[in-house]
Amino acid sequence: MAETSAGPRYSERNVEERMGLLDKAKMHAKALSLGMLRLARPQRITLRYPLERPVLSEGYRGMIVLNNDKCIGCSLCARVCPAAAMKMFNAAPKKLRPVINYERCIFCGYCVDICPVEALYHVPVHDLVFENRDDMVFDLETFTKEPEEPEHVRKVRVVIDEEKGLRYVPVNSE
Amino acid sequence: MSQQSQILTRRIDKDILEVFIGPQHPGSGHMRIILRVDGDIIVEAEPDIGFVHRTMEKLAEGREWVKNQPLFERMAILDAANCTLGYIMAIEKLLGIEPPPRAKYIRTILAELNRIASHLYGMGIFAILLGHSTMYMWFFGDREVFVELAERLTGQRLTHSFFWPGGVRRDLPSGFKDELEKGIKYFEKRLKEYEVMFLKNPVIRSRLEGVGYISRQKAAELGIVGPNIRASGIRHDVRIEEPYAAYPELDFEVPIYKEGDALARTLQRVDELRESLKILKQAVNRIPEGPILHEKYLKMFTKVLKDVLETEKRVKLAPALFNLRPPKGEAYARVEAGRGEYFYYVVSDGQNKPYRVRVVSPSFRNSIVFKYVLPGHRVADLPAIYGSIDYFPPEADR
Amino acid sequence: MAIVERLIDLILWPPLFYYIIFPGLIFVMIFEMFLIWSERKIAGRVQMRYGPLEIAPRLAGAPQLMADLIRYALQEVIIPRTVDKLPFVIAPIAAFVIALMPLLVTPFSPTFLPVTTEGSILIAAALTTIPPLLLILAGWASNNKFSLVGSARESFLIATYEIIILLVIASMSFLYGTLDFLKAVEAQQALLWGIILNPIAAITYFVAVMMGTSRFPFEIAEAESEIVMGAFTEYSGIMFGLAMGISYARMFVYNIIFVLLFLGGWSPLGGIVTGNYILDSIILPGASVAIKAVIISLLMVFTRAVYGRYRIDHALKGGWGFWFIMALVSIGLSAAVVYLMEVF
Repeated sequence: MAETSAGPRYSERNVEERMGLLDKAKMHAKALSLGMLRLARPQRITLRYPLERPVLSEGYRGMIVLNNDKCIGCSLCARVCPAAAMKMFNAAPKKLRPVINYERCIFCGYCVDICPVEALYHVPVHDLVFENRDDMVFDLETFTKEPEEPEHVRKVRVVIDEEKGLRYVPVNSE
Repeated sequence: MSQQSQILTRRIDKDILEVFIGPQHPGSGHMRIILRVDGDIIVEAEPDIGFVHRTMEKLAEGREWVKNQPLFERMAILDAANCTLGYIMAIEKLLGIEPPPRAKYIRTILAELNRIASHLYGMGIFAILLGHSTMYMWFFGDREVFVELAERLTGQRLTHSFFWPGGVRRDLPSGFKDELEKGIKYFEKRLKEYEVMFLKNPVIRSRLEGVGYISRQKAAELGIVGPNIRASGIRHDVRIEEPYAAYPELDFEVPIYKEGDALARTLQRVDELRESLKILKQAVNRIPEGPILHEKYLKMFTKVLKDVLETEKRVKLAPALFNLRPPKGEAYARVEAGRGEYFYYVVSDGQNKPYRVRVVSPSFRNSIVFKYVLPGHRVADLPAIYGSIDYFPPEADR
Repeated sequence: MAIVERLIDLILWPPLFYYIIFPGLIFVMIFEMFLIWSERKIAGRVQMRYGPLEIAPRLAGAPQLMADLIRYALQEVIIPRTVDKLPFVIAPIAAFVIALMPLLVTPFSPTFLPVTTEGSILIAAALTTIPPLLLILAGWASNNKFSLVGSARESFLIATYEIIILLVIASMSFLYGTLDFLKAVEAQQALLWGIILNPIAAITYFVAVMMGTSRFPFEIAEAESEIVMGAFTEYSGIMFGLAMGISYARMFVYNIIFVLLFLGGWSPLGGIVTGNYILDSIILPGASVAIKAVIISLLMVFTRAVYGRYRIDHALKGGWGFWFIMALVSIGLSAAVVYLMEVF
């Protein structure tokens, strides 16, 4: 049925026959021994999260920081925000500046991408804890400062591995 | 005995018991299935959907065209690329533009990464519904590889928002090809283990064989889509019927099973995983050089935007893209997502916001299955059928 | 001094010692905590994760179960207005108590035992059949659809596995020619372990116990994705903890019977003579029985990592269509072995 030429095509396949008693016993044994193998040689991908944190990839769309010197106050970021997380306000007379509400932000990065002067940029930090909801509304001072992750976390680099799937390589912080 | 202690069940008919599965039930998701059971046999089933309805189509009418992308990907957050691709393609049809070849390939790569992640998610839920906690963890654990790959490509694990009309937002990062190939190699090995642990496990087999049978004709009548209809022997895959992105240039098979039971649906999905790996391998090797955004918009780029594109390989959102005013008219686009066919119908009245966006999502079309397939099965078959349909309530409710 | 001696005497009085301390309540509690912890650890290792770890990572999260127990103990016990209160409250407690009662007749050592009776196998087998009835009662009293379905499933299963277990036990007592655990163990020491004499009976018993104590793949009566928690859906707090513990307690008791009937009881450690009464008659034989029982239990909980759950009709079909026949075959095999022993 299947055409031989390359390109997308359908191929009809069949479910195997029902298993006989012997096949069943064999598959039981196989499944149990695979379980035993994994029990003897566990292959874990758990990241012990609050203690270990992954280094986010280079282009990660993390928290957004404003470079106040570059900003021209064009309001495009506030207009493009799909979640209405960014608002403009008068930092000084005739000087509009954006502020962000992380309660609403969905990290789509539209604001960063629309900024005509590259005044907004992502930092590879995602997990910050706020004590109350008011703190999540950043003012100009916090919005222009790069957020820092807590110091006690061990940073690990996530490496895609042929054997283990994901491997976490500790990053030695100098 | 006091009056209180008598069993208070509503009798619909003699010996018929009404059981509400969900929405507060460990095996239901955000929906409710009202079952009428005679002993252990379901005689009537009513899917009661709409618990996570978010009026997405209406919301879309109040936002600029590109702003709807983050909205629509919240239908099926685990399949974000596939479910927004259709919308972007519909806009492109309105605008009468085609993305450049490299952008098409990048779209294909992300779509397939999402398809794998989506299938693994669905099968993970399926496994835990059948009580197989190991496969649940394995599917979800291995899904992490593809989520991680998608993160490196797009910058977010799930909510990629990765497409611009006429292109994509980012180029492939350096070293992506190696990482992808490592991931594929790892996953190919794992697929063999899945076979032993799940697909050929006699316990799972006995749960799936002959359960939830949908005949070829019934499948066509109900209008179900995706892997479910392909497991019932109907040749329907949008990637072939109405090729988009880079699919027509790639060599892959779409498996078709005739049996139409839960086992066929599961095997169909696993076979699709294999084909997706094949697609990914080809796409990442054959990807042509070139721009990743339509030249019409590239021309409008200012110097800053061009610099960023060259140094960071990041396509900035040119104001022209944001203030998109497609000409009056209507367009539709179809996309084969993990769970089936997404259909977008958009109407433009020449404004910067869509006049109407209609979404038909695969889960919505599959939800009818519960009503017609569940009766006659045992209550214990409900998880097997629910899981094998790979029903995802937020996608159906929109 | 006399009081202390009397106290020691009281504690060492076999019925009390057996039921409360070892292998009874206190030991079963420790055993359960160990078993649930190792079940979670085993599953975690197979499933690409750690299992309980956060509480004391150096002890591999072992105190987690203490924490769980404290949480269950301090949680409010909610008794819904619509339940039948008396059976609802009594059922899990009585089930737990009765589940431990077979320990009174299962000897852990050849000399130190609470009850000497000719029919100890019979009594133990009879007592193990009672707790599931109380589980049905719990589901019935709960007045909840899911509890009812769970009870119904349990009652279907009981009919299957109890008959298989009783037949296998009968085949073994036929083999040893006695209804007394003591004599059965002696027979094994004289000849061979039961598992070698009649392996079919051992496998059948193992599977039937998994079915009876709702281990995977027979975790049907409590199937979470189908009927929430089966008969215990309405329970909360310490009652729920108790209800959870019943199946583990029953598994322990069944496995002790398994050890006594198939694994040679207290051999090899029971044969050592050191001269110390407590060491010789309680600790060494008791330890060898308990360790064997724990190993068998670990094998049983391991299956959680490999299997999903059967549908009830598959389990019944397997039970009646295959394992029931295997139980009958095991009786035949016992007869053959007895005949062979007569001949040679």
